[in-house]
Amino acid sequence: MKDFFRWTQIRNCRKFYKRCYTTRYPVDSLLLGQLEVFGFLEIQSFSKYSSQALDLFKIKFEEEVEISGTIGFTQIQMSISRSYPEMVQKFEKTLRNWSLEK
Amino acid sequence: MNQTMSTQLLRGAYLPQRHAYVAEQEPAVLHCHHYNCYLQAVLLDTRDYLPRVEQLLIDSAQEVAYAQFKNYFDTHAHLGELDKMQVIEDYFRFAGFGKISLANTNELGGTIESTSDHYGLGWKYKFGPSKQPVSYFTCGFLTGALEAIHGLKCGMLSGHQTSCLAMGDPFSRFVINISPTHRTLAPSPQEGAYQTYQLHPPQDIPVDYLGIIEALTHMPLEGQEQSGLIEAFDVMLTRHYANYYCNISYGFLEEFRNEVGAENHTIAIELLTEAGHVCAFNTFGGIMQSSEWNALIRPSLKTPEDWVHGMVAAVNAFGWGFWEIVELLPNEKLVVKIHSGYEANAYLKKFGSSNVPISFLATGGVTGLMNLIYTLNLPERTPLSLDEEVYKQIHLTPQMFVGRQVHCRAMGDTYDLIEVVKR
Repeated sequence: MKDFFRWTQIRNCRKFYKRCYTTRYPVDSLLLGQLEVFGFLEIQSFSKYSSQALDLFKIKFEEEVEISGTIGFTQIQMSISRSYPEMVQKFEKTLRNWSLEK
Repeated sequence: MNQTMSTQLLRGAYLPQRHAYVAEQEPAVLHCHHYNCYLQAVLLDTRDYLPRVEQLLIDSAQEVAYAQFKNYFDTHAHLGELDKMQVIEDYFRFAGFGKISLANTNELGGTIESTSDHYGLGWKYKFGPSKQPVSYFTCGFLTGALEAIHGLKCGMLSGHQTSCLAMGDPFSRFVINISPTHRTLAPSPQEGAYQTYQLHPPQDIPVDYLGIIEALTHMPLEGQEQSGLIEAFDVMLTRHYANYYCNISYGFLEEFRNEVGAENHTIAIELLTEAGHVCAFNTFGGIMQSSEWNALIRPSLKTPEDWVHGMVAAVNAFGWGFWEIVELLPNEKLVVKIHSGYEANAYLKKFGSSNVPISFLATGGVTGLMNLIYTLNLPERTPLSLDEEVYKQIHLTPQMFVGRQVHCRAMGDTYDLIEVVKR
């Protein structure tokens, strides 16, 4: 797994796993498609306001899951309820499979 | 949302010529649960010798909520009682304060329960469980809002909290009654002595100030339907009342001077400035590690100085006024000029002039920014969990940055000027 991504805990939180993942490749539409199984995808088009900016994505499911990051960048923030540790495993599996497909 | 409701939303437009969000004459500023709860904790820590601080927290919220909703209902006279309740419930959610229902209230008061309250949850997240109720703001907000709905004078009702999410209760409960004593609360300073101004973005750096401000002021930052909370930038945000912060900060300073002695007021000033420093550590630190930052601002950043500029650019979208860097010497000095800062706006209108600088949040905030960038070296260390241990690292550094306010509008200057250097 370590070959495909690294992660750091970004907040101590009793309710959520909160981690920042650094991926092997910049986030692209292929990964977003695969992550959509975790919730509803929203894209903030910051690039329309500033030529230097990239676009933000967020995938949310109620108050249980939030996955966000920058399209074209190698960091993803993940917040998943501690009630669903299997979701964290599923998320990491998605990252691994996407890296293999690239 | 029904058709009637869609025509009566209270929001608050961003006014670019003032760098302010104004909702029915009440300026709103973006602040997170770290600052909200820490500032409150600072005041509560003094209650053994300043017994009025708890009532100050409630009354301050009551004054601003009353003023805002009274204005709104005066100009929307066709609204019925249920419509008015909906306006308030909706604004409470929109601003990120949580979820409430006013269904069990009338002109004599009532009982309100909330399963999602910014202060109750924010306090618990930040400090752990509390032994006492902590949602003073919510209590005052609800009391002032009920007075406005029913056309009562401000101060006729009084509220108290009987259970609290921060204590582990399943909901926060607020009980509001006719006030047993005659109380006259102060009017809100409303829009204050604001300035209009034009930002002068620096030309020789890669940070796109105007693009950043435009993007942030168009972000859909409002409380979620289910929880009424705004979770963004890795914090719980609020579109809070600028005048609430000013009421509690300057009210606290006045109490301190009266009870402890004017000669000791530097203690109170240091406490309020430290609250601003904590705000910067958590809010700026959270923002600079967020996905929003990575998408919007980070692609243009190359040096630590660019990070300072990036954060100052973002602050210009918080409703805190116009922030401009006058001087930035790498790892040495930062000077920030502020026009129409919300602290000075409110102070000048409510109290007139001051003989000491009063922009405590701004002073602590600018100082905190330098400590994040250079003392903690955040640009090189991100992602970093910003907890108490990391905060202590700042204070253990012999050459941490310290700030002072050099110019202050409340002292007669045309702008505020904050200077930060190593101690």
